[in-house]
Amino acid sequence: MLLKAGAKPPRPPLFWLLPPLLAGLPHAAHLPLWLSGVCVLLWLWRLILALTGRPLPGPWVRIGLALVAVAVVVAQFGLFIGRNGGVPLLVLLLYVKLLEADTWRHQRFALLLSFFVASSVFLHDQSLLMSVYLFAVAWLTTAALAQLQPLAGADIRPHLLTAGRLLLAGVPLALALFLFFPRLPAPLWLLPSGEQAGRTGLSDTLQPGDISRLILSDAIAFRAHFEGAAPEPATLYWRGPVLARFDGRTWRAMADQTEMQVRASGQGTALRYVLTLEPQERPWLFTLGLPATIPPETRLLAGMQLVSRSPVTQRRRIELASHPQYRLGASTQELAEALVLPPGYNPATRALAQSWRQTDGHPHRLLQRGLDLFRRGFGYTLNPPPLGVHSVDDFLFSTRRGFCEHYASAFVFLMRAAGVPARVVTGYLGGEINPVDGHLVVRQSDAHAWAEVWLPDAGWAQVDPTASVAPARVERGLAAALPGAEIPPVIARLHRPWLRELRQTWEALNNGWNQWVLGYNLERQLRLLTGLSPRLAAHAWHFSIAVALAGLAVMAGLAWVGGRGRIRDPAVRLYDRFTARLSRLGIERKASEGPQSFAGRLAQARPDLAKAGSEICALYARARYAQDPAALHALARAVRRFRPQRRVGTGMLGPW
Amino acid sequence: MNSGPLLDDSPRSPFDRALAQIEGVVLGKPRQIRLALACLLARGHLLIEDLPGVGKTTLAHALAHTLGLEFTRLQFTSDLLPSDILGYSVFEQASGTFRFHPGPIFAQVVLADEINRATPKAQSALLEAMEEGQVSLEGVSRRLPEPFFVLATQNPFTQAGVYPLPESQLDRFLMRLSLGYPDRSAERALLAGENRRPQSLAPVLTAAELIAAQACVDQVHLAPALLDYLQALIEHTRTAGRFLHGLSPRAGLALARSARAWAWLHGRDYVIPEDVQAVFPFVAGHRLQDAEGVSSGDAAAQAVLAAVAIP
Repeated sequence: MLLKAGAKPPRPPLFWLLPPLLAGLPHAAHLPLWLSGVCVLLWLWRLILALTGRPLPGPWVRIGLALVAVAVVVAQFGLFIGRNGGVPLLVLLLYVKLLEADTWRHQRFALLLSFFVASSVFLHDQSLLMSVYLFAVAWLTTAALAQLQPLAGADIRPHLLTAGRLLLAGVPLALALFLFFPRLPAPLWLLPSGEQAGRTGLSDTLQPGDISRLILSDAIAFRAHFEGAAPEPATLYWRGPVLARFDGRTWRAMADQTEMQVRASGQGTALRYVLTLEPQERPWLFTLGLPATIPPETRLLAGMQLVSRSPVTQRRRIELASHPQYRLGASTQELAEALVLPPGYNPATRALAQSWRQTDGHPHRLLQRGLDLFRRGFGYTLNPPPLGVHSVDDFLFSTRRGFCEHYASAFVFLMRAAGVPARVVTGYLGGEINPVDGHLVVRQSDAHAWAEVWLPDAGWAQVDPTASVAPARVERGLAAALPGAEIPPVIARLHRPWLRELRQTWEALNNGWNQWVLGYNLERQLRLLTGLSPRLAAHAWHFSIAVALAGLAVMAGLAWVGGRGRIRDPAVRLYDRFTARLSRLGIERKASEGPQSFAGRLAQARPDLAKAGSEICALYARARYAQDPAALHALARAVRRFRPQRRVGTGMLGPW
Repeated sequence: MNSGPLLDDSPRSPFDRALAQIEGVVLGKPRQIRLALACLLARGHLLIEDLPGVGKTTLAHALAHTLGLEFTRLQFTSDLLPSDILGYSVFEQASGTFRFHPGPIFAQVVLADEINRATPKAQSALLEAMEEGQVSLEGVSRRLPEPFFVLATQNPFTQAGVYPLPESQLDRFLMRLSLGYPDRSAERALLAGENRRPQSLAPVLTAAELIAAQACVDQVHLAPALLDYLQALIEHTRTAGRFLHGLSPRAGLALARSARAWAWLHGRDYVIPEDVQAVFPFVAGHRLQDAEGVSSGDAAAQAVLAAVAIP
């Protein structure tokens, strides 16, 4: 009789157990260890039952397990709403479901659930690598689904092929939905945040050693893409937090964290660029000098620091324009703050600065003397000797070896002691153009600290004392400035060309993914539609709905054409495949011709095919008209094997 | 008759013997013999139509003798009365009651020879017997024996002195066969006197065996796909416009039963489309009338088969 949907498969294939495991795997990173362990145990239990052919646990065990799963998840995560409770429950129930899956119906359900579990990984991680992995999981799941049907063999390869074709066939629709389905200004649910953000990065305080630790990380801080040619990296001082308060050891942010009130004016044409920030805990944006415009959702703080209104917890794309050449004014409060020195610290430095001031109090010449001081006898190193309580004194007069934060800090102290308002600016210096996609990549290892001094005739002026000590740092990057033995491994590795290329390609790929897939938001969708047709963009929503409806109509039409009448007998599908192969050889089955008659005619036309042909016809007759499932399986095998060749020697003969 | 597909031969053993035996009498007509057996297995009545002298009566005799059934022969003539067929009651003075004398119809196999030479009145006496398996006379219904099988022969209606069977009567025959002239080698053997007389045949089957076989035929599986096919064939005769009337539901049932019997005779417990195609011309041929009167029912039936796709 006909195989029902609930019929038990004759020889249970095991492949269908793989996708649920792979779909749940990425969740292990976000679930408590014990929960992952329980899931793996449930899965292993099911696997062992499948291998030994023993019966699945009874309904009471399964109901009990499901209830315990719900209770445990509620106890651990609270109500199972949203990502934090819902996903663990879903994952756990998937593995409980496996214990129930003894028929194709249940197994198919478990696989559909696997799709869901796999796609819920995106709530945690949307990276390119994970997307590729999940796509592979979707492929295997589809193949497993294809195997759970009456005619499937134990060999998974043909099903992988089928699944691949199905997924490829879905690409145009997916692409259309991606491009045209209405984007929401804000996501409906919580998207990845927190976990990815701010593992490393600049802080709003600065102590000696902070930046030299930071540069050990080659994590990307942000990318920039310039409109037109990118400027020389050496000139790119990416301005971040401005630190003006010093307690003898630590530099802290300016007291005034309100919007910038002072006058500022840009010179020359503004540089336009798009910044793509990696997630971090801070709201800081990094500009090249004075921002020409304040983008929406951002503020320009006192000290000329551009910040976002909310922390950049997701990768964020922001269009900026700024003037590298500018003139920045100062408030009296700012200037007063920029002269404050912690009492009692660094007496020797103060004395030196006093003596300079008495010789020549002109700010320009004081500035020059300060920079000159560093030109002789100072060394640039990642591993400076430890400093005592009077850190600046120790640095300037005894150790004389340090990293950018030492120089910036000492220089600013010196200037303040000499009566010139000064402050520390932190940020990044330079970056590296990725030749693959032309984006400038700025890493944590490009972190830098420099100084800003107040010159009455020029306003706040940017001064980099590190440039006096190690000009190579500015011009050719960190690796060139450091002594060979000190180059951190992350940077040293980058000097192997093939590794560098590989990494650049990978990062460009990732960046493309971030820019074009994850960064495709409502605004860019509208821009795309405007590009296609301005009138279209005005009716973006109508257009999207029309496209979606048209897509649904096409799918419904295909379903109607494909499934017109009744569900086709699998035997007929196989027989059609067989007759189609013969019709390519010119042997057509008449519509009114039964299988036996056709076999007879085939045997006359092609005696070489008589045996295989009559076997298939007889199996078809059994499968279709005796409705014998065994014949159906045999038919599937026989048709798979049946590859008739054009008869050799008809028409043109070979040369022999 | 040989335009249909050839089927593999794997008949069931008693029927194999019966077939072999009849083939020794009716030379060169294995297909017709097989159809006649199928008709019997399908609990249907058989009409053999052909010119006089081609072996109609011989076939009927051979069938009856071989099957080992109680057999009577009725020669139909224009003066035949219904009571000559069914029987009559006479008053017995000894007992003082009417006693029923059963007519020749009370037999397991009734050979109605030259049925269309009788008047419609006599012909219709067969009606109830053929359909119901009983005879009602003088307010009393009498069961006919089991199995009950009417084997009728008739001359083509172009011959003189015939009363064509009305459609209602024709419809009661499951199949109509014609024998045709024997082929050259069969005719040669016939002339050489190599065949046996049907009266000399020994029975190879018992009535119980036949009834058991009929029960088996009822169990032959008819898949939904074939029901679709049968319906498509019937619908085609009703809607194609080339026939005066389409096939009746009774004809549909006849087709299904015949196809089952044909499948069983060929050693299968399920029907395939070729079974339907093999019996269709003989089941439908005498039930279909070409609207333009051009082609015979058989040719029309073949045209229907060619026009309907197998689902």
